[in-house]
Amino acid sequence: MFEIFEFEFMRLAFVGGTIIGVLAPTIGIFLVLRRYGLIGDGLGHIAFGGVAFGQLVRADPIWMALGYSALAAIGIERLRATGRLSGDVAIAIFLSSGLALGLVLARLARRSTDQLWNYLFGSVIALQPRDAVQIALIAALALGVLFFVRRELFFITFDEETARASGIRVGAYNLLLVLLAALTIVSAIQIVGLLLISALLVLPVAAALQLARSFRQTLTLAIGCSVLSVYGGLIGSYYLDTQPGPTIVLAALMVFLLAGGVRLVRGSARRGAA
Amino acid sequence: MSDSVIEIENLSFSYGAEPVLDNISLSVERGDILGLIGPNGSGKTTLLKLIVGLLEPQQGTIRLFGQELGRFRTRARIGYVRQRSWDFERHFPASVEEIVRLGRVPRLRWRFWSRADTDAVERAMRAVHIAELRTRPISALSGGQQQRVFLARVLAQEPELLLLDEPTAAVDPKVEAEFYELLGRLNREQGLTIVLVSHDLEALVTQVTKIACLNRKLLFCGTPQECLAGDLLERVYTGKKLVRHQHPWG
Repeated sequence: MFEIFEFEFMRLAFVGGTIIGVLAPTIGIFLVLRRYGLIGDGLGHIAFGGVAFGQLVRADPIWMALGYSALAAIGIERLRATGRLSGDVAIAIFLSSGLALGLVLARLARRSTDQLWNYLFGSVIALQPRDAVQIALIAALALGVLFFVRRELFFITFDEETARASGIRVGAYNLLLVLLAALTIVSAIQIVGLLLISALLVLPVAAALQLARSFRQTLTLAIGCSVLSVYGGLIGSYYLDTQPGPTIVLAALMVFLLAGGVRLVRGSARRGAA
Repeated sequence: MSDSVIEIENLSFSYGAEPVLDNISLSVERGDILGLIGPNGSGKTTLLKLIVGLLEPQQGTIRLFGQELGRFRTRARIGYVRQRSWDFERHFPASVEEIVRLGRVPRLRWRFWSRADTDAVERAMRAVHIAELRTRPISALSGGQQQRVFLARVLAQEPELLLLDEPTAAVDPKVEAEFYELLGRLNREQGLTIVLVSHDLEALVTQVTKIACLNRKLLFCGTPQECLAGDLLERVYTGKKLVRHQHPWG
C-alpha cells in the first residue's frame, strides 16, 4: 500500500492535492451558494487559452493561465454586475471562446497533444518540488485573503441587499471572489487539470450541503469530502494507471452520492422515530 | 445643532418614466417611531431604499444624522430589515447564531471579533427570545421565528436608527404584539429611532409617535390621532376599512 509514497512525484502530488483539497471548497462554498457554480468551468477553459498562448510565445504557461483567467474573471463579473448579460450567458461566452482560442493557439504552437492533455486533465508524473511550492504560495495568498473577508462574503452570499445597505462594498467583494476562483483554478492545473477543477469547487460543497446544519459545518464537511476525494483519486489513478484529474472527480462524485445516501438513511430513521 | 436623524428635502425619484416619489420633504427626530403608510406601489419601500443608500436620489437631498447621504460613512449606525427578508435561498446552510452574528459585520471593519461582539449577539438573541434556537438551521424555522432572527441580527448591530420594511408581514398576531412591545421598549430604554413600513394600520396607529402617509406625494405627516381624525385613510385607501390585515401565511 505504501509503495505509492516511494515516488517523490506522488509525495508531491499528495502535498499539492491536500492544499487544493482545502482551497477549492473554501472558495467553492461561496460560488455554489451564489449560484456561480459554473464559473469554475468558464475560468478553466479560459486558462487553457492562456496555457496555449504561453506555449506559443514560450512563456510560463501557468502564469499566462493566471493572467488570462484573472482578466476573464473581471470581464464576467463586469458583464454580470452591469446587468447587460446574465451570469450564465457571460460564463458561456468566455467558456467556448476560451477553449476555441486555446485549441487554435495550441495548433499554432505545434506542441504535442500529450502536453495539452496534461494541462486539461492533470498529470502528476512531472511534478517538481518547485511546483508544490508554487501551489502552496498561491493557496496561501487565496486562503489569507479569504480569512480576512470571510464575514463580508458570508453576508453578501446570504443577503446581498442588506449587506449593501450595511455599507459593504458588494461589487468589490464579488470581484475579489471571482479573482480568488481564478487563482484556485490555476493552482490546480497540474494535479486536477483545467477542465475538471470546477468539479472540486462544486461536488464536495454539494455533498456537505446534504448533511450540514450551519455554514461552519458545511465548510468543514466540504473540506473533509474534498481532501478525501483527492486522496482517493490520487491512489486510484496510481493503481489504475489513469489520469489524476478524472479519477479525483469520480472519487468526489462517489463521496457526493454517499452523502446523499446518508441523508436518506438519516431522514427515514428520523421519520421512523417520529 | 439639529436633533434630526433623517432630513429629506424635495426628494423625487422615478423608475424610468414612472415617477414613484414626487417632491417629498420629511424629517424624523431622535426618539421618533415613524409609521410609513400608503397603498401598494405608493413609494414606501423606495423611500426606505433611498434612505439606506440602495438607490440614489434623482432630485432633492437626504441628510442622515446631519450629514449629506453621499458623505455619510458610518452606515453601522443604521439598521435595515428589508421587505420579504425571509425570502432567501431555501436550503441556505446557516444556523440562527450565524445569521445574528452578521449584524456585527458592519461594526467590525478590519478588527477582530471581540467579547463585546459576542455580548451584543447574546443580548440581541435574548431580546427576541431566540437564544434557545441558536444552533437550529435558519431554513428549519417558521416565518415568525425567522423574522425574529432578522430582527435580532439588526439589534446585534446596535443601530441608532432602525428601518423596517413590513417587519410583521410573516408573523401571527401574538408575535406581532410582542414585536411592537419590544420596539417600544427599545425606543424608551435606548432612545432608538425607528421608521416602520406596514400595511397593518390598526397596529401601527397604536404603536407609533408619528405617521407619514405616502402615495407618490407625502399626503400627511403628523400624530396618529390627527391621522385618524380626518377622512385621509379612506381617501388614500379608496374606501377600504381600517381592519387588521389578513396575511395568507399567518
